[in-house]
Amino acid sequence: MKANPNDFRVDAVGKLRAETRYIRDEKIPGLWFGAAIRSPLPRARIKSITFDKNFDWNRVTVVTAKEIANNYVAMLENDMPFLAEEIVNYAGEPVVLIAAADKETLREAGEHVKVNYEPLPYVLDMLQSENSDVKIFGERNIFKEIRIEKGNIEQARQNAFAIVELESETGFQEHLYLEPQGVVAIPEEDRVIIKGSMQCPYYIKAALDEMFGGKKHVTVIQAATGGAFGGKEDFPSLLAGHAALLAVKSGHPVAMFFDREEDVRVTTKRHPSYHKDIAYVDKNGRILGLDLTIYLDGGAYCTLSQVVLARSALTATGCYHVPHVRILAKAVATNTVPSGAFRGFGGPQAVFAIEMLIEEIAHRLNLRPDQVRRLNLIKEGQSTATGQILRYSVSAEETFTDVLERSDYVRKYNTYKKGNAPILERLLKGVYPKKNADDMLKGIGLSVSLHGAGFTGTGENRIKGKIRVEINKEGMPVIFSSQTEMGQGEETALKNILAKTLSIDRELILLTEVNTDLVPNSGPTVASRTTMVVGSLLVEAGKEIISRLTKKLNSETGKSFEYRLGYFYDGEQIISFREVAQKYAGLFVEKQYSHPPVIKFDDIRWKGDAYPVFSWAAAVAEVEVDPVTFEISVARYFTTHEIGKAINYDQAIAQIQGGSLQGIGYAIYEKVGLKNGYFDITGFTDYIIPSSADMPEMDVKILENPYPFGPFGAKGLGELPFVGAAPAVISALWMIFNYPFTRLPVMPEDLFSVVRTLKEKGA
Amino acid sequence: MSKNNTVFRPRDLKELDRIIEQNVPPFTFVAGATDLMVQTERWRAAANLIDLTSVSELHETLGVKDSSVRIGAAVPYSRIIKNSVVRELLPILVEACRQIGSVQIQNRGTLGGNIANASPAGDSLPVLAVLDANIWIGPARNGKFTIKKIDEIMTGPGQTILGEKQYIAFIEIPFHEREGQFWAFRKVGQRSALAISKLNLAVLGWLNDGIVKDIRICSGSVAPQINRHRRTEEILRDKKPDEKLIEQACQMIRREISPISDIRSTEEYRRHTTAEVLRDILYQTFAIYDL
Repeated sequence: MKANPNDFRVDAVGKLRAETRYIRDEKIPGLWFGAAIRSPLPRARIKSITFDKNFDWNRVTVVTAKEIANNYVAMLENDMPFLAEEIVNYAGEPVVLIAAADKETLREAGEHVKVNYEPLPYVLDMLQSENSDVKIFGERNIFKEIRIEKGNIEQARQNAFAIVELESETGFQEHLYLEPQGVVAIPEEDRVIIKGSMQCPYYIKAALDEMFGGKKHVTVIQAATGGAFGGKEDFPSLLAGHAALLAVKSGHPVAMFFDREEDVRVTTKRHPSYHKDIAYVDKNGRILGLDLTIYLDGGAYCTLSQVVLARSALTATGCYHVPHVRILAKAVATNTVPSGAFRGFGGPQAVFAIEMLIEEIAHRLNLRPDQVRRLNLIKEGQSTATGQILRYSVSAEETFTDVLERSDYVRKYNTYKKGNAPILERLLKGVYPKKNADDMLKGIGLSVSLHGAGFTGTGENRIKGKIRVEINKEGMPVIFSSQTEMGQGEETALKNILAKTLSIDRELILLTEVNTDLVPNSGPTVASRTTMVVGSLLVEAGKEIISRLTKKLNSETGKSFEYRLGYFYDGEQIISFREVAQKYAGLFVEKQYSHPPVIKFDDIRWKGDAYPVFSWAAAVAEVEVDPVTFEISVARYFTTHEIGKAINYDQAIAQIQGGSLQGIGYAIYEKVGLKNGYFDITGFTDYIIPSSADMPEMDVKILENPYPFGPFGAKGLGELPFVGAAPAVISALWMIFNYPFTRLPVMPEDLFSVVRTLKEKGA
Repeated sequence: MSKNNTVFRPRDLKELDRIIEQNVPPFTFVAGATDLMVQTERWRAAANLIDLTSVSELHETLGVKDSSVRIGAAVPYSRIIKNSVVRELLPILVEACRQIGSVQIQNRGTLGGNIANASPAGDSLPVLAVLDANIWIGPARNGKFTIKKIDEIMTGPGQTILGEKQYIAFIEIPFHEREGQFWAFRKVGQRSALAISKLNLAVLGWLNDGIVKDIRICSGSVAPQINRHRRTEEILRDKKPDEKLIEQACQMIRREISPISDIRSTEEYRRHTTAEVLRDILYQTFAIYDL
């Protein structure tokens, strides 16, 4: 594989020339602005809402919960209201909506609404939620509980040479997409048009169809979307509902545009997690059994927590073959902002926990971390925790071996250990740690990770994604799909796949606007499924177009044309694709997805093929810690990804670099705390993501091991690069300090505390 | 900014002073606006905005004399960084300017803004303190500006002695003896650029035959105000630093600062690390390594 300068992103030119129109750039005549009055308390009873008589309420439109017939956002559980009616369940929960012709009036109106709350006890700690008297969801505050069993964990325990236990935790993470949430609703007589920044137009349509009880036709159109990372998967359904309610009542188009502070304070975050894991191992470090307990903090409402939990549970054994497994996973409710989709979707939490457990095994048995990993890596023909036998495209060992060799892991591990020893010794003695001005503690860490491509379990068979390809009058194939471009390269990937199938120039392929009145529901743009699942439909559609064009041409001419790399050829004549296609303008093909029948999953007993295939990655992070200030930086980052087939090589490399850096952010930069139930961050100044200056030297390699059912062998890529980055970085900190770092993120302040603890122990 | 607000863009000091005289406060004096514009509420509430970057003297003055340089309060950091005389004679100032925000911020942000904004985390402030800068405050009366030191201007986070009609006009920095001079500016933030300091430390001193003739030490972000650490300086002055003496200095600076825990860091980390950064600077300056 190598770079191809002609394979640039199809959306790049418009973005570079600032011609791309995001929702805030659109000129919408008569546009009003909407906003929500939000609860300041994590849990309270709404006693009254009063509207100050000194304000002229004719100037604005107000909506409260009472007016909403179907006051729930249709998602998995329908538990989240558009507006709280009696009880608010998190600080920031919307209570009243207001719209006005300008922002000044809107603000003024907001100041004249008074909501009286009676504060109620609340629960913020996910481990206390289950047994709390505070009931947020059902009797036990559990959104979902999953049990997976394989083999006989008792047998593993009895045969164990060592029993290794570890508790680990991960924190919130904010998406920090460049463009904050923004949606506009435009009311018409029997219809409402929703236009905005989003990943999943059909999710919004389903939620609003339900909200309006079918009384309005809902059209959802995606505007150019400036980043999402999962943050625009579930949340825009709530926001679009707000815009639509205000638009219908006021009769004006209404914009719900968040500024950065509102965006980081009230939109979804990555699920925090808590793991209590036990590994039963033999004396060489071979894992005989894993007994894993997983908690995810779902926040006040369910959103997608059940599926996030499923992915966490199904990823919990990592890239390892384990004969005996018991997993108990729970997603619980707390009085915090609902957690939602975020790149990796439960996978990063699970992989962090298992990778740290591996570190602990190595630590306990006095082995190098790579030795324990290598011994346990899963291979073709072996089975996962659900009994899924990996029959094809398995590359845990290949990626691992490659990245270890390229990074020279073993040699550096030994060299750095030796170099660190005197610095550490002095540090722990409490004397000046440096021998030379530029002395640094150098760590090298590693991780292996995987990501199940496509929806979890039977999801794809439920959603039955559908696409259409139609030949237009100019003889150009037009793709109709609901997949969205959010900066990840979806448009480029879909065009490339169809162009390659038809052997024609990419410039001949068109994509329809993502508008639910025009495009079929090909499923949401999530779960690393677009290239692999929707791409496979495009390959089928392309092949059918060729065969149907050939048939038509032959029956019309009485000759026997066959298709050769973009041309129809019959021995005498050769005619281009476009010329033939133009003759049969209007011809269209529809394709609907279902898993190949060989892929089977039982989501009641949690047995079988949880994912049609996995993508694989291994990473090595070289980390430097300043022994004076404990500042942490990643100096070099090596990763090898096996993704079946790279549809666009440059874009795949960019995805891997960006995802890795985001994962490094998760490890050592990005921290969200709670203050009185509120997130303590306001935006870019206090939520620190790594900038280009923090980008390590990156060395990325892509391996290809085709998935027989993917387009040209391609598997999912979008989320995978994120998953293994944090454990690789933290593995390097274990290596430096010989100390179990089990909580993400790790800050210099944490290293300072650890060193102080180690000092006290030594003394 | 609210629609009804007035923005003044005086061309020179004379016009600036006239605007101040003829209008009713409060005024919002602004230069690069790198801090104000990103604070939605404060920016919206900003009344009678006076843009100091339009005042030619304040925006352009970078006057080098024999013994000092006078810098307009609205001169962007990047011009200071590029000035060859400043680079040669005031490297510590250039180093601080380089560590502020990012290149974009350095193109807009100014020393005047950093002072008037009065954030304890302002990266230029400890450096201006150790350089013993004179801050010229306008309007001038009979051609004379009020002159203050940096630690006299800032009274607390966001608080200064500036009256509502007063503005920072110039920063005058004396050139110091270069013979035997040593200096350091260290900033500790959560990332390599665009980070508000968890702590910072400026040290400027002079050696003669291995003896500290004079030393000035000032920290940032670890107290509500910008203060020189005179008791720490006293420990080192007229001495030949060794490990024991430096340990005493580190103990003293721990007592001289009063950090807090906030979203950026913890009180304990800040106190410990400020002292260790001082130790690091002194060990490196005096090449004390236990080899």
